[in-house]
Amino acid sequence: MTAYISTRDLVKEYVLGRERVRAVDGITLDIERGSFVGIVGRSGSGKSTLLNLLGGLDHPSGGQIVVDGTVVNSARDDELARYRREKVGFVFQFFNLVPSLTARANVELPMIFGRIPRAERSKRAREILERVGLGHRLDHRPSELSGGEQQRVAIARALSMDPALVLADEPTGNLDSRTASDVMDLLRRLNQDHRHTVLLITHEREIARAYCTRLVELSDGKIIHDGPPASTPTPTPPPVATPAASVPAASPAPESGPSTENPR
Amino acid sequence: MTARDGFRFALSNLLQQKVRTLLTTMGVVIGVGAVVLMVSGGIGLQRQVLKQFESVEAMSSIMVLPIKVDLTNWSFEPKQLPTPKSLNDRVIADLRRLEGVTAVYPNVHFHLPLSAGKRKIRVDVAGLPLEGVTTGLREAVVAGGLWAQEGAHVLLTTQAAKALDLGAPEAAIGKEVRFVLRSEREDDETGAPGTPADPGEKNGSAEPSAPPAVTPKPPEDCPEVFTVVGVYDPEKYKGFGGGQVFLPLAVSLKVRRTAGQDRGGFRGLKKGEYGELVVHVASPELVKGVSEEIRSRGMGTITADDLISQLNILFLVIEGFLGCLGGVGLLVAFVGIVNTMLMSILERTREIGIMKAVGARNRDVRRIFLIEATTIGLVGGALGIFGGWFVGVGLNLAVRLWLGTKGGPKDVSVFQVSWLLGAAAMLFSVLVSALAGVYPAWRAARLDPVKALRRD
Ligand SMILES: Nc1ncnc2c1ncn2[C@@H]1O[C@H](COP(=O)(O)OP(=O)(O)OP(=O)(O)O)[C@@H](O)[C@H]1O
Ligand SMILES: [Mg+2]
Repeated sequence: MTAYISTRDLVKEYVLGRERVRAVDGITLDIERGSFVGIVGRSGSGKSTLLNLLGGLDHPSGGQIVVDGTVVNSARDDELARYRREKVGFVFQFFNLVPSLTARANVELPMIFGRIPRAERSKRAREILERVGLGHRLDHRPSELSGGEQQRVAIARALSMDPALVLADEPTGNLDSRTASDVMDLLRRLNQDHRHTVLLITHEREIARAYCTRLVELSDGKIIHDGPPASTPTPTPPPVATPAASVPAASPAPESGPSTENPR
Repeated sequence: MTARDGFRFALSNLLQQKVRTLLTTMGVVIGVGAVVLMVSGGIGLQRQVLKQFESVEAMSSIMVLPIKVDLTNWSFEPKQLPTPKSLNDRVIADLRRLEGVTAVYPNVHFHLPLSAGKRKIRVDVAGLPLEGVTTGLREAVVAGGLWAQEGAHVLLTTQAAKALDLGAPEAAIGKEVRFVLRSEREDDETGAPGTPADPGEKNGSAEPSAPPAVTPKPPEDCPEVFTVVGVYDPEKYKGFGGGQVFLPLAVSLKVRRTAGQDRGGFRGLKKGEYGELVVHVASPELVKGVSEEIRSRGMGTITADDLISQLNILFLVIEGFLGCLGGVGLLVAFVGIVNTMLMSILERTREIGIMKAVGARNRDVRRIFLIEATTIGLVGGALGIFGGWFVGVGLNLAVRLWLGTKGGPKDVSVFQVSWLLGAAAMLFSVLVSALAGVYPAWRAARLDPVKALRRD
């Protein structure tokens, strides 16, 4: 197991009354460092559950997760908190910014828990916000920002502790297509320029194909397909774009066509 | 998360909900304020009472009882109960010989109606030998003076003189007042036992300068009509008691016997026995030694120190009770804080999920909520102490005004906030609020981040 992330027979089971629901049902997966992996599948197929397990936000019911040599599945709460703080950056569909805090304070939040000195975290927050193009929005609160801007703040926050792993759960699900591609471009830049490993859940095939170096498709908590995006245009489900504003054909992601090869 | 960041975070959270924080804090203010006010009332009362014992006179007196009592147990020493020591003139002479003792005399103390013209009041009467007259009493005399020898003389209080309509203290001097010895108590037969042999011979002073009997049944040689020789102000007199009308000792014994009030004591007193003795010593430091010496002879003693420590215990109980009464307010405040914190957690569930997702440990979350609760207690406590003190000052003014209209003393402080009380109230407030934060903080820390993030 030399992969950066590797899971073995990962299971997450929920018990609802008498019923047992296996949201993740025996997933074995290896992900290389620096890859940009898309996770696709129908609603309820277990994508978010898998991502939460990988991010140390949830405890698996069984199986193993090793990230960068750290055994995540058996970690205690405090160790998981540290893992989330130092190795993982989450980006969510609904941004999940703290509404009472300014953009800068939101970006500082992980660093507060990481006990980074005040002056340094303030400086770092500004740098990162500038990097995502929000240098002029430092003191705005989330309610004073557009959706795209909020998501960029969220990405900046995810990056503030310089994590190796960025986990994005439908980051474009709440954005119009134009803004969505801005956000996706940003994620790609992080992946390519800064070598962050990115795991992206998306409903939008276009986006998955345009940006990911590898696609993993789930169904009922199991992997039903795994490979480079070109090989995935399987006919399985029609592009399920119902929940979000459907993707217009004018897919604005021209720069790097199908994407690069798996780096390294 | 550093403590400093925790504080900053908690504070900004509290300010996020200004009205709610204010209301919750008000609860603490009222609770702490009530505790402070109540207890400060108890302390004020305590100081007022203990002032009575602060004088050198009181601190150098010993009360002698026929049996040993243990004030700290509120009970008699059981073994001593069967054989009380007889307190008689021989004992008095004996005690007088003790080192440092300046005076020994029986404590004579009773109530009687006293009349002048048509006025009649009930007064506390005490017998006083010349040797027992302290400088404290002399300094409290505002008109006339003390008698030079035994006789039908009386030293009135300013209040008694006023109530008997004798005019200004100076005008009262030389006027006559009458003790009502046998008004409703005609049934007295055993009341005046036998001969008048026993009274104050040891005083060496002369026979009563017998004023002629006036009433139809003037028993023995007991005077009924007394001449006012002096008036003193009880407020100025610091010592045991105070507020009594004083008679010469020998006469007071006769009056008491005639009035049928000498049957007190732990059992019926035999002829020539006294219920209590008063011993004066030269200085307060001598009290302990002399008192022990007296106790070693099988008698009981009560000193100002005993009374003070006893009163202190009593007041501690009273203050505790008052504190608990005020504490009810604090209890309500406690519930208020718990409620506020729980509400706040409900509202901020998602935020807690975010904090956890970006790496907050459970203890970081716990700390934030604990600090929030404690901050409420800190601010509420400070304001409450100030408020309690402020109301107390106001009430003190009101009490003084009221006493002023009644001609009472003007330096009374019923409510007194000490530093100790302030510090204790602060500590208590912080402790209570921190305690109120424990459960909410625990709940918040324990939230499952995945569920918390899914919440809207
Ligand atoms: N706390 C829970 N208790 C019980 N069942 C749960 C719980 N969380 C998730 N599930 C179930 O697990 C399955 C997978 O859920 P998950 O959120 O991972 O799906 P998803 O692929 O992310 O779907 P979507 O695309 O709609 O976000 C679902 O059937 C869901 O009902
Ligand atoms: Mg999902």
